[in-house]
Amino acid sequence: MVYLRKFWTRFRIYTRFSKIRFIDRLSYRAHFFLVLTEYLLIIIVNYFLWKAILADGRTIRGYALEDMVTYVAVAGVFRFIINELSGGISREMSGQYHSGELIMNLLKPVSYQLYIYFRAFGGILFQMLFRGATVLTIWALLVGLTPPDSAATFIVSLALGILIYAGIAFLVGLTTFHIENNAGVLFATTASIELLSGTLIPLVMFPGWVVSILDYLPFKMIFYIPIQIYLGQLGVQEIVSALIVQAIWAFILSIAGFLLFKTSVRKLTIQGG
Amino acid sequence: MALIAVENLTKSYKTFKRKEGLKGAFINLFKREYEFVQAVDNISFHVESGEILGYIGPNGAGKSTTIKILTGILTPTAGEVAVNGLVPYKRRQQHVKNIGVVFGQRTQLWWDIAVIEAFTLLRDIYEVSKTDFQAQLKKFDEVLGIGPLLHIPVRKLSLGQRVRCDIAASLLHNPPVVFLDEPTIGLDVAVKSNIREFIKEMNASLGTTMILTTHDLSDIEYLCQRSLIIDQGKIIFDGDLQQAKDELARQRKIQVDLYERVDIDSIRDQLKVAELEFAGQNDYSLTISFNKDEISAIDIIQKILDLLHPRDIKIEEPTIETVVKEIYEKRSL
Ligand SMILES: Nc1ncnc2c1ncn2[C@@H]1O[C@H](COP(=O)(O)OP(=O)(O)OP(=O)(O)O)[C@@H](O)[C@H]1O
Ligand SMILES: [Mg+2]
Repeated sequence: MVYLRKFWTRFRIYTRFSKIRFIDRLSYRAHFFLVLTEYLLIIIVNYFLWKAILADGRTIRGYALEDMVTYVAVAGVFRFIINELSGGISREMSGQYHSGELIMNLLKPVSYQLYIYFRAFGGILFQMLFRGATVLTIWALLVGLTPPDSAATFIVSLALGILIYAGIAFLVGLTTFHIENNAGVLFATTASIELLSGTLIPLVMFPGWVVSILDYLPFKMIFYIPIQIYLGQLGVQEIVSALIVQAIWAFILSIAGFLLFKTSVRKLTIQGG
Repeated sequence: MALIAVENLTKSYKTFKRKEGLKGAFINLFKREYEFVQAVDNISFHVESGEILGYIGPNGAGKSTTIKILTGILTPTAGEVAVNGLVPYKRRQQHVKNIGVVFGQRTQLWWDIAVIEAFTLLRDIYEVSKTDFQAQLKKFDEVLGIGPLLHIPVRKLSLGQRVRCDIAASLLHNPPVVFLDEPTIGLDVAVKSNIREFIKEMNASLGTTMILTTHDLSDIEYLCQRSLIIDQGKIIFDGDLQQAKDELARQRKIQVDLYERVDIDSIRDQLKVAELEFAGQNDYSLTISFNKDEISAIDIIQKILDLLHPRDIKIEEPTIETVVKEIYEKRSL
């Protein structure tokens, strides 16, 4: 009971970091519509591409046009999240490292990893509530959108996917401690995650050997599993095992971040910031 | 046991030596040469609970390096440190709960939020009760005048305003140990004296232990019974600067400005004062150093008036600055 209360007060502190980021994002209004238009355009282009490919009721590896209508929209919204996490975690960490803000955070009795995570969560909440909701509403009215097969499981799976990507983004952010300029690493991971997590095309469209390699990597756990659950492509048993594998990846990546952060800080405090 | 114990502490920074130019950049790719900067060189000192220790020294002496080690954000190369029984760099999270830190050079506050929001966040982080928090805010407003600053984002504050908020933030949770690295940088005279009062009061009422680094020696004079002087990583003085000043005050100087150049040796013979020399670049003024226990200023001035037609006469008493300057210049007192 005492532990629970303690946990709760600590949790509340971290949610305040989320709130700060949320409000910060909210204050850039002009930027808001610009980005919204850009993402909407990408979704529309993708849509017309699939419309041409899947004309006359054709299907490719089980995907018909009506599936892809929903797929491109949800994937488009998910790209907001990818963007938020690569900017709000990896690039943010690199900026804090170079500006010395990291050192000031080390002087506070707060976990840096959780501080970074919760800030990013605040940003994601903003992306979903404002940009995501707007895009999906426009899409539903203009083109049409199938609702999720099981909303609750989709949300759980999506949350785990976000946690997995947050773990990866944190590890990428930590590379700054070791190579000073990590812009290249950041670019490469963001690009490969967009491709390998399924936000560009459904992963089954890749050659079979690629698909089987991807089964052993965390990338498809980020977006492809949640969207498959959304579209009702997985059976109950598959969903349960997918969620477990997602949770394991989320855990492993966060622990890796925790441990690597410790050694990175040791290096930093030896070098002198 | 001392609250802060530093034993044979050494810190050397390893820096990558970059070669200049295009050719140098090419060589850098293949061959890395390193340089070592010995910032802190085998120093030891103790600070007792309730003490305010002045920590001074010229630029680049190693002051901030020492403070960083004591706050846990720097790992020593050799030697041992303990604050309140904890080794700062090994138990950083635990350690920072019990300390307050001001680095005047850079802010400890979150850049992107209003001051009051940063304060309430710190209140929650350090688990300060709401009533204590209100009392602290009121006190800080009286001393530091931060009331009007509370709703301004940290990044929009002027240097002095930011430092004032930083000081308030670092003392919000009444930490038992406080490290102040140039805390009065950029502050106006009124605020500065308020802060001095406040620090003194906090130390007296709560027994807060402090280490204060500053280039403003009047801060030290006002607050610290004991000071360390560090130069090139080594401690060259450990004691009461006030006492050192009183000792030095026996040694006084008279400066005599003249209309024309005089023969310094003949004056020296007649005055019977050993230390007599032309001051600085200018041959038209003399400085006479003397020990006031051996000869009085009146006697010297009397003799000068008999011998010369001075334009002006000044008597100098040593200040804390001259004391410290003497120590920096490694002259024995
Ligand atoms: N991160 C670093 N990497 C390499 N050398 C460093 C680093 N930080 C400090 N130094 C060097 O260590 C020495 C001591 O620096 P330090 O900051 O401790 O001086 P200081 O006494 O605080 O000086 P000041 O009065 O100017 O603040 C200096 O020669 C400085 O150049
Ligand atoms: Mg310094």
